[in-house]
Amino acid sequence: MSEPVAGRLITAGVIARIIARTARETPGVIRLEPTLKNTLRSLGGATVDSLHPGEKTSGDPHPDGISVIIRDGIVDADIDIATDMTRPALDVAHTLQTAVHEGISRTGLTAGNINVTILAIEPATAPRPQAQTGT
Amino acid sequence: MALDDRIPRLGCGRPIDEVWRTVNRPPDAHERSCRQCQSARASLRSLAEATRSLRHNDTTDPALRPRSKVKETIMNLVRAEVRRGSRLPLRRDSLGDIAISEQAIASLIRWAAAGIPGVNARRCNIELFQSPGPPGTGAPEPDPDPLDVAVNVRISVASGTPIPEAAALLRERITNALAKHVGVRARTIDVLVEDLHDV
Repeated sequence: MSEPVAGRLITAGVIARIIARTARETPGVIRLEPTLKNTLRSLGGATVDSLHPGEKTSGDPHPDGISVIIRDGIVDADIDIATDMTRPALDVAHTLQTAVHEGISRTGLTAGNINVTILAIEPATAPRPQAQTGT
Repeated sequence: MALDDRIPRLGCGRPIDEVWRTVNRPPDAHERSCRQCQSARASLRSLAEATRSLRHNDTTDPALRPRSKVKETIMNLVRAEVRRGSRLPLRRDSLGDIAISEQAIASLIRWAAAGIPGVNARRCNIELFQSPGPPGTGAPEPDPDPLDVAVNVRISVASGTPIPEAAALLRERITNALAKHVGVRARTIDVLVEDLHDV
């Protein structure tokens, strides 16, 4: 008798939310940086539709700053963060990498390459800049 | 956000917001010769296309009109997109890669310079440090430490500012800022005084 085929238990969106929560809990991480697709989704789905014909805008968008791919049970992720100045940004990124690896391992999947990019380093309590101009 | 004046700037000193404001026009003389501006404009092309579509939707279907704070939301995205444009790889191991935006380091350098009386930082360039390698080979070091960076900063100084002392202080502050706030070592810091300004 053949063994049953294992079903897919967890989506990339869930993994992305686990990563987002891990980032929020990592000391020194101020925020995940916004991405084009997620921002456009929040502004109006028709805009995304016009840019990416055939893609549905409803559904389960990833949190800002996170891209997840699951292939053969291995999770690769790209995470874009802003850090505060109280800690070396490199240490913050490495702490986040380690925590994400641990978090993914608890889902039953295997963490592959967890790539972290530090996009900004800011004072911890800095207010968001006011937009000067826009298109 | 930039650390010096709360307006994010490219390494060349041009505010990101200004690049965004003019992204739909042909590049000006500075942008035609500036690698950092060219990279920023390239990073913003998709977003510019999207906002054009958004504006069109506004006029044709009121239900698609964007919600309030859209301008701030888009500007935050503009800044993030530009920061994604130029990255320095810092570490690669079994966990994955860690990289940093060149613009994040440039902002830190401007912040370090801002505390020195009479010194205004202008263009900043940051690269991974490449040692010259063994004498006589002319080849770069085969496997440089990715945590070492080379900084090139151009400054304007106020008339009467003692330049050697100001440059030494600037180097010290940049070295300390990169070590404390990023975790990298500045192996070389080239300072070029390219202008004088009145106090």
